[in-house]
Amino acid sequence: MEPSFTTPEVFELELLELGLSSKTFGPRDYALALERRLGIRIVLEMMNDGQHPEFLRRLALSGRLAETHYLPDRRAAVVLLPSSLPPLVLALAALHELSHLAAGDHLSGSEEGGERLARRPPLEDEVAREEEADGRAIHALLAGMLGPASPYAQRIYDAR
Amino acid sequence: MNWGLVDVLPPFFWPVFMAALSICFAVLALTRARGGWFAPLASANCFLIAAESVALSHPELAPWRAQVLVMRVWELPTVTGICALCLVQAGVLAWPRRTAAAFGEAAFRPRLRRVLLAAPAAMFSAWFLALVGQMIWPVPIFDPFARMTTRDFFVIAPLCLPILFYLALLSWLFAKAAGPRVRSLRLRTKNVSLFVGIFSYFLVVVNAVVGYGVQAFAPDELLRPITRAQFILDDGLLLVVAVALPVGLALGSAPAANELLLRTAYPALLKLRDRIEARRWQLSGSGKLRRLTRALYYANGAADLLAMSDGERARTVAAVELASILAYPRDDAPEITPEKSLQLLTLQRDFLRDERLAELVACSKSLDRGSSDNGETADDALHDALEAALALTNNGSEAVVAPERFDGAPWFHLAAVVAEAASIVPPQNLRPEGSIAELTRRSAARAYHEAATRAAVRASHG
Repeated sequence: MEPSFTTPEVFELELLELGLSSKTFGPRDYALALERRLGIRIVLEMMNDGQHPEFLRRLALSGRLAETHYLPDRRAAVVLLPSSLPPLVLALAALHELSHLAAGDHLSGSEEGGERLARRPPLEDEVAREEEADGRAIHALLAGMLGPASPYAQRIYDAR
Repeated sequence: MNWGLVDVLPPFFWPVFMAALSICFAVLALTRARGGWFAPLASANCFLIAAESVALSHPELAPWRAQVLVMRVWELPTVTGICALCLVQAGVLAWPRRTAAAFGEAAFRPRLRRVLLAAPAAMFSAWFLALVGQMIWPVPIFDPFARMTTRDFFVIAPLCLPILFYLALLSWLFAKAAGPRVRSLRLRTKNVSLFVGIFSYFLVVVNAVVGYGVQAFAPDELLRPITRAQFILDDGLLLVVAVALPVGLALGSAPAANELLLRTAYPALLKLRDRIEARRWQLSGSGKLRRLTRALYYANGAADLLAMSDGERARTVAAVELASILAYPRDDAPEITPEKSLQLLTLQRDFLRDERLAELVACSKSLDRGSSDNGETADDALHDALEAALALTNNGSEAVVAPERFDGAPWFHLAAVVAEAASIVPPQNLRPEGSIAELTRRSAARAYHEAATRAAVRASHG
């Protein structure tokens, strides 16, 4: 059966819980709000290509755009992003990684447990998880850009 | 409900007003504009209230049990309406033509949602118990000046508590939703109107319960004056309800970004653009774009000589890299093909027709905020570079790409020179047409060769 992905409406409810609904925000604001909600430290680290050429090359060869390291003993997640990514790709890559944290993907297989923002448990299929994170990243980018003009944000308080 | 019994409004006011509203809602229910449950329910409600206000003028026509039965049946649409409103706020019932979504505070408070979900059970139970109780111990319910016993009061008054509770809860929800959290003034006004309407109806029910108390406990000489004062209050409150609720509903949605584009075209555009840009970055970062390293190094030197801006340099580099990928299709870059590039350009052009969205999303995207501080449109290097790459590789469709618009653009001609020098595309693809284009191309070529010479001299010196 096809997994059902998070809709913009459900995502807006999560933003409401984070205090970001009806506001313009970027990936750093989303990370901060997520940090407070999940009770973990989230670091968005920009990796300068000149200082870390091997990181850039490894990432580019692997077909990925960013890396997330979750450290359960320190209750922290570090997201590594190459600084040379084009602006849109950079924003979406950061939001994609944060979406994995929001969905609780970092907790699957872990015995320690922890908080997640999403109401439902993480998807089991790896490909589906990536697709879910892509979708969430796009919802977040649009909601963050539109702020109060987002129709989904308005609908939460629109009784009609 | 004691309408038509005082002189403040003419006796026919409420029956005529509610009958007219009932017809309006019935017509609305028949149109395609507002499908769903709301209009038929409102129409039935208004019709019953109109009939009730007529019947109240003639209490002598029905025996007590019949009066109780009729009154309780009349209340049914109102109770159903309040239940529906609670279920809508809990997110299990959708407003007509809307998807079900929990409202404001109820969205992330599970207990509040559970309380709202319990509304039908609580209110219909109270309604049923009131019906049973008053059928066992009937009262002349159409006669507001009739005396009630203490038992009659305790049969009916506690059973009004569920409806009072849910009306108060709904009022609180709409009052919260009219606060500063909602940025749109129109939406706030709408929520204020709905709060005023629902809270006024709450006061109407409180007034009715107080009326039962007066009928049961007030001294004989005070019964009529107090009841008359209550009628005046009742009429005033109902007038507020009759104005505030339609105003709240009529305010409609606040202007928002085009939802259809937002749900369909823009995610598709973002995905396509993200994939094209990401793959270009990966191919470039992993050194897989052969023959370009030296040519792009000279191109940077030429850009210095031509005093190009950062945006123009970015366009040159992107155009050359994209032209390289388009000219030699790669198995590991299925995202960058002439077809997908044209699709992206078409989507972007269609999308930019929506001025509001275009304005909102053309701002720079960074890690820090959704839109740029100064509100200026960001420099979109990819769009130009993609058009240039398609033109250089002879993949441009006239409908989407117009190469002549690059005639006087040094960055484009520098990209053409670099593409030719790196043997990415055959020279016949790159002939400039027109005197301006030829002049610009010549100066770009001169700058490129000058940069190459300088680099060679630097290399020979060590």
